[in-house]
Amino acid sequence: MQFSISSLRITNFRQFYGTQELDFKLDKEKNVIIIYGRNGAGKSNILNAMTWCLYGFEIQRKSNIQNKNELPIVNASALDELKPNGKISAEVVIRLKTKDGPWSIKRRIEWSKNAQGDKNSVADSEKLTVTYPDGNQDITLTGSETQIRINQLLPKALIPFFFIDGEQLRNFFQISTPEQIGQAINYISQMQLVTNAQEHLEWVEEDVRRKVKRTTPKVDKILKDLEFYKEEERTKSGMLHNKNELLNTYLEEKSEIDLFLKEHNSVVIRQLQGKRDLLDNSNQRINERLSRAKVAKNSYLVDIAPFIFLKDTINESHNIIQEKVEKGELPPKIRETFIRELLEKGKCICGNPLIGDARRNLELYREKVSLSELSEIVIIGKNQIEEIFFDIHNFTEKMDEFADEIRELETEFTDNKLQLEEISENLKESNNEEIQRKEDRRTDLEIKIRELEQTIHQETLELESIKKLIKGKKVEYDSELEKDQKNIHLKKKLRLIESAITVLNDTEKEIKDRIREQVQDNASSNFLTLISKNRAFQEVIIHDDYTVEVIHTLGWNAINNLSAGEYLIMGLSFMSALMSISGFKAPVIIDTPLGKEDDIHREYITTNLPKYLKGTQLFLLVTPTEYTEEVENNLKQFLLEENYYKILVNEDHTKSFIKREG
Amino acid sequence: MISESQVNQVIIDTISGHFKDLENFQIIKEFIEQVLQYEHLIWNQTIQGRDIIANYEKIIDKIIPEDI
Repeated sequence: MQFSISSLRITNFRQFYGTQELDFKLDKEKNVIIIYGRNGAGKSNILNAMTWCLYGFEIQRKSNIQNKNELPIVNASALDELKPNGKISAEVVIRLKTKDGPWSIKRRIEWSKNAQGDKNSVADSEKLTVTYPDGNQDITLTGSETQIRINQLLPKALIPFFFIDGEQLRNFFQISTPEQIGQAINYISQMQLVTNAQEHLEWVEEDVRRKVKRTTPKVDKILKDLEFYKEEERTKSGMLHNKNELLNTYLEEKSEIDLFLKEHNSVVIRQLQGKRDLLDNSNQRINERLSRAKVAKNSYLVDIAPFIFLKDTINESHNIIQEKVEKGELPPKIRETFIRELLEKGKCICGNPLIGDARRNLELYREKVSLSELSEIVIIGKNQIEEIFFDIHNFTEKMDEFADEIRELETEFTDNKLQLEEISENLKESNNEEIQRKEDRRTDLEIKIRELEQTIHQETLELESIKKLIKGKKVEYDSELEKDQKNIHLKKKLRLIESAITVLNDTEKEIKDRIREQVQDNASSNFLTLISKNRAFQEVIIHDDYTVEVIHTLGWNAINNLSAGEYLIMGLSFMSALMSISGFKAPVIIDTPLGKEDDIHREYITTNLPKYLKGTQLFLLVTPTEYTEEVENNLKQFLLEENYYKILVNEDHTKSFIKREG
Repeated sequence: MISESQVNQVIIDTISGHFKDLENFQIIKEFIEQVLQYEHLIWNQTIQGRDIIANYEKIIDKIIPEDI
């Protein structure tokens, strides 16, 4: 579904006092809408008003649960001015343009003052009304179906890709874990139906198993075991899920600390953090090389071990072969010798004379078998034994090579680790209390992350074993079913369910893989388009495990070393890739899009982004520091005068108003 | 965007990968089609989710009737 926003009406919502009306002119080329306001004027609350109206939550608030002491959603000044027993509403109305006709979405909540005039409370809970065209008539919904209608317009899960906070977008690739990137891609893939189907089929599978007539004594026992392991699987999966979530929280917090230190005012602290980044990256690479070297060493050991153990026997076989070769008994010419004898005697083994065609055929055959299969095998075998001897002979040397490589990498790793510890100590000795606190927390987080990663690894292995046990029990169960004709029908059902689960599971994996590749290609092309003047990068890669790499022209992965502007462009490129793949065409709203950008990146964004999103409304909620003369000039070609709004604030900063500037 | 027809093609390819004979291929294909149609109904909440198992069994019974 494609839509654009034709108007927004905000009444007594947060700091917006009274009714603020914004009408947007729609133009494919001039697709930019500017809402200008200083920090704290209410730009983020415009974003919040939109998501509250559409989905009932405010995207820029940490918690959407109204706290007793928190400012109410309804404008505090308007509430304060209310007479005893009076009522007031906070209301947001969004009008949309769709190809089927206009939509109107309204959400309102009513507050009231008590008779004494000293207490405010919610008088009527939130009400959502959706009016949409259906043929020649308009339908108005107010019940539970309203949210479903809006979700068809733009699913709630996709909001972060359209209603964007510039700061969060800038930090997206600095603080997001691969799991979060994977989650974003999975939201877009919208494979929820397939995932749900698998889950429901598993319920049905368990139910069908319970129905099996327990006519063989073993079925009961197997079923009990199966249910026990299934329960174990559920518990373990749940625990793992929670631990992974906790790990993500730790990783995110650690990335935030790193980001804080990287952007800190003090040059020394920034440099230390920069150095730590490099060492961390280097250790990550060393770790990968170490694992590869260890795997190579182990594989080599697995390959060579049998030969080392059988060295004496192989040696003996080799001596026997060698002796026979020297005596001229090898390569064996058994068949050739036998045929030659027959030909010499001129008699077949049955006693008949070998004459005519029979003799000619045998002569031809003698030529063919001159190098018999057996002799070939023996020749190959002999060569192989010699190769094995060579390998055995080189065993010590090869093991030394492995040991040297591993030792070298371990030394490098330990050196880096010592330097990292030193950096951490230096940061902890900083005069700045906040830095000390953050550094302490970082050390604490590193320990927790390491421990948690080990536990997760261990528990994942345990879960795999449980899954194997379940699989084994199912096979056992199926073979027991064969023993009773009465269960044949249920067995057929089970086979159907199991097959469907397998097919859906494989389908889901395949689709997710394809989507990941599409997002990668689109993000890569978006990034290179948006950053067109900068030739330092060649591509963006999103790996199977959702780790992201931005490949520098010299081949390095620059994901941890991008500038603030490049990070924002990377975030925008990724979000745009997700948007286009989602198939939904909705306006893009970015709060503080140019916050920390340098001049070059401001120019890239303000000249390329509107062009790139041509035909899509692009709302930019900007501060005076962002909206420089140059930005204004760049955006002029994409901006209709009527689409420029300014947020004004009263003197004591309690009321905000929106005025059209153009 | 991966379209519905592409998803269906992936499903068909996956089934073909697992089931070489035509009879099994058809049965699984039909079953998965009905399962996804039903999930679509649950998704749009046009039917209640609490009878999921019973409704699934109805679908299965249609595909594998008792007397077969």
